[in-house]
Amino acid sequence: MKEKKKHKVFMQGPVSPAFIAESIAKHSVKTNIGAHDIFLGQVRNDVINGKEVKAIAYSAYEEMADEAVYRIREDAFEKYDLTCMHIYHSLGLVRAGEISLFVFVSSAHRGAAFDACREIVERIKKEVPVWGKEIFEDESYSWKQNKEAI
Amino acid sequence: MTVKVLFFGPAADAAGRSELVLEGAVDTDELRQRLLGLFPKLRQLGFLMAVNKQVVQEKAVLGNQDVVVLLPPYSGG
Repeated sequence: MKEKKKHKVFMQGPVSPAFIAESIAKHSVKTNIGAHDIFLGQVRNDVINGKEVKAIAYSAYEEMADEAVYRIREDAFEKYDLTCMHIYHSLGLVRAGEISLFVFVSSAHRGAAFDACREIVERIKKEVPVWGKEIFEDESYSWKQNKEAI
Repeated sequence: MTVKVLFFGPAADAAGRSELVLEGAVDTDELRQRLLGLFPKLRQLGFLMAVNKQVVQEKAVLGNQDVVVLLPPYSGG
């Protein structure tokens, strides 16, 4: 059985390592799973014009963002043989070194989990209306720009 | 006829507001021109528009009470 229950995607503040660990632990009862693939997006301390990013403040057009994530989920379940999938994205302030995106894909075998996870992450960056404001040590800021996967 | 315009992220920054109610905009091209006139900083930004949560790539006719959202390039993740 595929688990397609919807949960809230956006959470206030960083995704904590404890939350991630707990999510992994919850899957031990699903013994038909043979492979998990997890992507964790971490806020990086980029240096822009000589100033170091100390945090990113995320905002979203939530109504549309929820729909966009739902579409990505549905497409991934359709395309890949997945057992379950969880997507969490931060809103508000996330400091450098903290986690802002958690994508957790499970399947019977590793191929589907690897492929789906990458595609989901790429689509989240392209299709979900979220904006990151990079905040520097002196409280000035600039708007984050997403690059193609490198 | 009125439309509600919502601004997010860098668009909210450029417009100095998150919301605006405008009268008389017939379509998205005209609305875009009016917004660029009202908020010149939007010119440097580049943005798509969504009407009632649907992204429009070409000119779309606006109806009364439509919600138009300015979408600068996304930067989530």
